[in-house]
Amino acid sequence: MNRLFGAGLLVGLLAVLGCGGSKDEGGLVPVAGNIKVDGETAPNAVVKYIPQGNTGGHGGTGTTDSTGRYEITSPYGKKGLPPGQYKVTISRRLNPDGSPPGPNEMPIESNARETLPVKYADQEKTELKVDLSADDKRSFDFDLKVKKK
Amino acid sequence: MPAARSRFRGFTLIELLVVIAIIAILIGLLLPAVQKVREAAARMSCTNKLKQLALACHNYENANGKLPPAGKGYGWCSSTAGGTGDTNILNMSGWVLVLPYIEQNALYAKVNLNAPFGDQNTGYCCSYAGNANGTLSGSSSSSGNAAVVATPVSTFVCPSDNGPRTESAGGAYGTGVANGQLSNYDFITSQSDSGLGANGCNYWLKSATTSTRYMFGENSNTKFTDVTDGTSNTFMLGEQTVLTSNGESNPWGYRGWVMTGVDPAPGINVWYTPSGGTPQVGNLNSWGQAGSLHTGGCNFAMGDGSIRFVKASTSTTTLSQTARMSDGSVPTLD
Repeated sequence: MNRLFGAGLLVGLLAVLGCGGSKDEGGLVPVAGNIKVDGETAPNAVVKYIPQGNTGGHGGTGTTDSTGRYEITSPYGKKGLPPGQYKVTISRRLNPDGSPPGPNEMPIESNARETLPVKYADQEKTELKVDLSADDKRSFDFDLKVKKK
Repeated sequence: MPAARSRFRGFTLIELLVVIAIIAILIGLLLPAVQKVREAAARMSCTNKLKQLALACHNYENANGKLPPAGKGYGWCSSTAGGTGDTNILNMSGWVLVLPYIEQNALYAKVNLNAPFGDQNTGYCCSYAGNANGTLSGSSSSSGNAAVVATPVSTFVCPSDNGPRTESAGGAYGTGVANGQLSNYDFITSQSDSGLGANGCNYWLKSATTSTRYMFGENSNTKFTDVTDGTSNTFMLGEQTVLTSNGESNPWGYRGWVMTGVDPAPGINVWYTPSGGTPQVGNLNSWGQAGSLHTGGCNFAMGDGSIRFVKASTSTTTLSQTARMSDGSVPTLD
């Protein structure tokens, strides 16, 4: 009996010692949408939301899948963004032969180059903006015009 | 007699087991506490070194009338012949100039300030041309500078970070000959200082405006009077880990491919996450980012020399406003 009690006490104490908590930020609005370039679905485009003014949080990025759909995730892995004003950049880096860079290929060491104009791809020069409200249910679609007319 | 015999009867197995269990519990309680004290001591030493570097920058400013540059003569940023790049490729880090102010006079005496510290004079590869306006005069090995930057200097080492501290010798990130020593601290510079765009060299000097300028950059010459947002409200030095996924962390003595400094704007402690994997704590997501292995944030030295622990939850807008020295906004760090 004594031995059982001692072992139980030990296990209980170790369980208490191993505990820790994490805090969660609330109020994130899910952000997703579709990207098209000249009317065609654009896979492998990287969509980045950059907070402006007094908008909190850290912004986020998402990469379009084969159907051109993206979903924004924060740098710390949380889905969605706090409401506020954002600049949006859309970048689509492709290798000289037109293939997309590998999933774990480092951009700064890659052959891939930007294929979209600076008015979409450059953080300073982008014309794309989003005002995100707390109850936003929109699909944040962008149809980019790249071909010159 | 029976009473005397029972006095020396020894211990039963149960009694011994109970004593051993109690000792085990006490050790179990003690070990996490010892670990925490150890990390607290490492963190204090880490903060102290950042403070020393901040004071060294102040002393440098006193003696020279301006702060040191983040670096000089980058050979890997983009410039056409006749463009914005420096004509003499040095790949020097500004910390070399600060050596006499952190009691490294002996090391400083070995330095040749007019010769290269790293031999990289093109971009990483492919269509990154590099600085076509500059030439390498000599090499980092013949000048002896490569041997200097391969010397470990304890002031640049944060004991909380136990990652690999040497950079590979060759390639776009190396000196060309010697294994440069990585640093846990660097100047606050914009990632735009990498100068990857056409004629992007000398971003701080040629392209940055009063509303976007940080305290440091290639060939920067900031005076404390230029920091109009207030020195206590502006980041001067930042912390980084020695491991970086996209690119490499900064060595203390030279500047290789995109080794620009520390930019807080993309966020603090943003770790690399392989696709479908979990974040690799200690491995920064990208070059030029701020981070540390202290829980929940990292240290910054403000322009006035004070050290602030800034939480990773701080918004990126607050971080970039605090990094800009004269944008007219004075955000509150909590």
